[in-house]
Amino acid sequence: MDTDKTIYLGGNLITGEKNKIIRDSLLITSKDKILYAGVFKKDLVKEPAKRYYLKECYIIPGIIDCHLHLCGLLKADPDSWVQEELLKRSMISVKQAEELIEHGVTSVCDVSKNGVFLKKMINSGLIKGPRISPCGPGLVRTGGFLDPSHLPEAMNRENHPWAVFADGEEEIRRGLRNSFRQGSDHIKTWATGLGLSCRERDRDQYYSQKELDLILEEARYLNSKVFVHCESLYGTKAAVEAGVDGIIHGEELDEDCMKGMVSKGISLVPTLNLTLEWYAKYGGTPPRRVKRDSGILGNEIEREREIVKRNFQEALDQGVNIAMGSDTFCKEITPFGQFSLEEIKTMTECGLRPYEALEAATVKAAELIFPGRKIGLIKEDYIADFVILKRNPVEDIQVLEKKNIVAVIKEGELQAGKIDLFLNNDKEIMQ
Amino acid sequence: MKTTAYVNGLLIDGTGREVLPNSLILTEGSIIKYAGDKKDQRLKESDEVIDLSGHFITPGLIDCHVHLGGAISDKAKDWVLENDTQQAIVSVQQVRELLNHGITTVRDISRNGLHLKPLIRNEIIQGPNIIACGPGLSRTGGHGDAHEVPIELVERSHPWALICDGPEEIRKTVRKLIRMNSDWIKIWATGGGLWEKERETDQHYSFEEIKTVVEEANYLGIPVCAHCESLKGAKDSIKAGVASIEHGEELDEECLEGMKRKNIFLVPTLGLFFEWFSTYEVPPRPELAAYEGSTNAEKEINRIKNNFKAAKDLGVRYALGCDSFSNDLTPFGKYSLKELYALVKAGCSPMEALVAGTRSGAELLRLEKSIGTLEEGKRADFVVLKKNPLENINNFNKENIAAVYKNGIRQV
Repeated sequence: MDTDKTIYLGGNLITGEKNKIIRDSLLITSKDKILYAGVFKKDLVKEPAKRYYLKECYIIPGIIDCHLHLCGLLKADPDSWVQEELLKRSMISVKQAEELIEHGVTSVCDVSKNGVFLKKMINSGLIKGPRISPCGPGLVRTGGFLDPSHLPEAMNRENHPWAVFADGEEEIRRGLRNSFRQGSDHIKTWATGLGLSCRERDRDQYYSQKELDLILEEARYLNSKVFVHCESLYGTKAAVEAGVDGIIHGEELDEDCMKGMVSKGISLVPTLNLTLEWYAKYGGTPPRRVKRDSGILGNEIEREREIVKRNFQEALDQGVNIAMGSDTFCKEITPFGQFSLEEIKTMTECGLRPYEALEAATVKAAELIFPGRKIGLIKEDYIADFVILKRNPVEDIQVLEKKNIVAVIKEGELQAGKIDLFLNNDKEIMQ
Repeated sequence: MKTTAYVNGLLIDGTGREVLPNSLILTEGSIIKYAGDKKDQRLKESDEVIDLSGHFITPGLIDCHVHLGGAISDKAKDWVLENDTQQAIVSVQQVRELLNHGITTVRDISRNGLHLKPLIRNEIIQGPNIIACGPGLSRTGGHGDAHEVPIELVERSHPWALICDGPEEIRKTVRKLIRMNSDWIKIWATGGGLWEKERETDQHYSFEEIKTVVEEANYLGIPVCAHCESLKGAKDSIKAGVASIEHGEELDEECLEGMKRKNIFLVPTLGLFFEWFSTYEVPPRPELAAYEGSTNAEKEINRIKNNFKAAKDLGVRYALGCDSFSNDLTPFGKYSLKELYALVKAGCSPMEALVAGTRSGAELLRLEKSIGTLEEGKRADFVVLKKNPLENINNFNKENIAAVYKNGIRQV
C-alpha cells in the first residue's frame, strides 16, 4: 500500500502548458513528485490515499520568482543597505522567506548573503520557505550605486547585503570562485548602474567587455547561469555580447540587443513593477532616454512609463523569452510575496495574456533558474509544487492575491494555508 | 483599547495559590485588568469573551538560562565553525520553538539575543521577550572557548562567548557588552566539562576578576549571573555579589547562607545534568563515593539532587533555567519543559516547579512588577493547557498546549 499518495480531485487544473485547463481534474502526488495530472480516471482514484476534493478551486503551478533579494531589509533607504547590522538582517530574512511561500511563491533565484544559508535550513526542514536557487551576493565594481561614496568604504565592503566588490581579472575570478565555494548555484553581476538614476548616460557601463567575458568563462566552468543587471544601453550591449543567460531590468534595449538575445537564447527579466512605477512611486527624475522619446505625450514620469512599456512590447514582438522576476528587496516598498504576484499582474498590463504571464512566472522561470529539472508544470513526473486558488487567474489575473490562496504545496507538502477542510473520502466523489 | 474576557478557565496564577475554578481574566490591550473569581459585573466590561472551560491557565513560562546561538550541533568546535549567518537564521527558529512550548520570556546568553530582542519587541519576528546578556565572559581555554579550533576563529565567531583575561580586559569587555545593549552580564567563573582541561571542578576566574565584572556592571545597575560548578568558584562569586549562580551543583552551607542573605538566586539547570553525563564525562569529585548509584553518573546525579535539596530546604531562591544551546542535544522549548519535570524529580511539588518557572523567574529578572503571575497590572502572558499540570507536571507538554498569549496577543 502506497501511503505516501495524496489525491486532489475535482479541481480546475491549470497545468502551465499554454492555456491548457482541465476541468474536474485529477492530480495525484507521491512524496515530492506528481504521479498523475489530467482528466478524471475512476480506477486511479480508488487506490489508498489521502483525498482532497477541490471542486470550484483552481490549481496552478507554484510561482517562481527569478530575481529577488532575501537580504532582510526593512527600509528602501540605500544607506540602510549597508548600515543595518548583518546578523539582524539574516534573522529578518527568515520571515521574508516565509512570506514568499505564504503568497504561493515556491521557488526563487536569490541575490543576497543569506540565500545559501536559508536554502540549507529550508531544505533541512528547520524553517519554511521557497526552494532557493542562490546567487550569493553579486559581483560589482568599486564606485557606483552599490558603493555610496558618502559612507566609509570598509562599511560598504563588509556590510553590503547583496554585493561583493571585484575589479579586474584576478578579483573577478576570485570573487566568482568564492561565491561558488559558499554554495551559489548561479552568478549575478551588474553591467550598468541605476539607469533609473538621472545621472546615468547611455554609454555608462560598470564592467569592461573583457571583465564580462571573464565572468561568463568562470561561470561556465561550473555550468552555471549568469544574470546581469542592465539598465543603460551600452552595458546591456556588452552583456548580450558576452552571452549571459538573463538580462535583469533591461528597460533600454535596442534592436541589436533584442536580436542578440533571441539568437543567443538570453531571457529578459523585466521587473516591470519597478521600472514602470519607480518615478511615480518612489520619486526622482527619470533619465533622458533619447531612443524612444519622440511622439510620446504627458509629463516626464508618464513618458518614462510609456517608454519602458514600449521597450518591453518590442522585446515581445521580437520574440525575446520573458521570465518573471520582481526584484523584491525590502519590506517597505516591495513587500515579500505580494510583490511577486503584482509583477505578474503588471506583465499583463504590458501586453502578456494572463496565461502567458503565468508561464513567465512558472515554466519559463524554471527553465532559466533550474535548467534540466522538472519544475514549473503540473505534469506527471514533475516536482509537486502548486498553489490552490479560490478563483481563476487565467480569467482574471487580479485574483492572484494571498486572500484567494487556499493552500500552497511544495514538494508534495503543505506549506501555507489550510487544506483539511477539503479532506473528503466520500464514495460519491470517486464515481 | 480592546478588552477581552477569558472565562471559566482553571486559573493557576503563579503566586503559588491553589487552582481557582471558574475564573475570569480580563485584559485591556496587553495588560491584565482583573484576574480572579468570575464576576458578572467585570465580565460586562469586555468587548470579547473567550470561553476556556475545562482548560488550565498558567502564566507564560520564564526560562532564565538559554543560548539562542543558533547552534545545531552539540560539539564545541561546531559552535564556532557553523556559519554566523546560518546561526542567525536558526536562532529565529529557536525563539519560535520556545514560544510554541509556552515560554514567553527568556534570559539569553548569546550574540544573537541582542538582535532578536528588538526584532521580537517590534513584532517583526515571533518569540519570547528576551532579557539579553549578549555573549558571556570566558577565560582563554574556558567554557566559552573551543580548544580544537584556532583562537582567532573563536574570538571572531563564538556564538555565546567572548574571551577575556585579567581585570583590565574584563572591564573593557563589560563596557563593550553594555554598549551592545546587554541587560545582564554572564561570566563563566568555573569550567563546564567540555574536555579534560576544562573541568567543572576547576575555578576559572580569580576573585579579583569576578569582582571587577560585578563592580563594572553594577555601575550601570546591571546584574551579573555566574556559571559556577565548583565550590570555590561559587564561593568567590557569592562573595563578589553576583545576582545568580547558574548550575551551582556544589554549594556548601557557607555558600547557601551567603546566597540567602544576599538574595542570590540559584538556577540549577537540573534537566541538563540528568542528561549531560550521557554525552560528557563525570567530573572527578572526591566525595562522589558517598552517594548511591551503580555508576559514577548515577552517583553524581544523586549528589546534585542532594545539593539542590539542601539549597531549597534552607530557603535559597531558585528559578527555572534549562540551558538549551543546541538543536541536536537540547531542543528549544521542549527542554525548558523538561526542566519543569526535572525540578519535580529533584523534590519540588508541581506547584513549586511552576512557581520556579514563573514568579521566581520574574523576581530573578527584576521583572516581578510586569510578569510572572497573572494578577492585575501584569502583562497578559499566559498559557492555556488542556490538562492539569498540578496533577502531573508532564501534562505541561506541547500536545496539551491549546494556546499561548503574549502581551494579550495569541501567539500559538
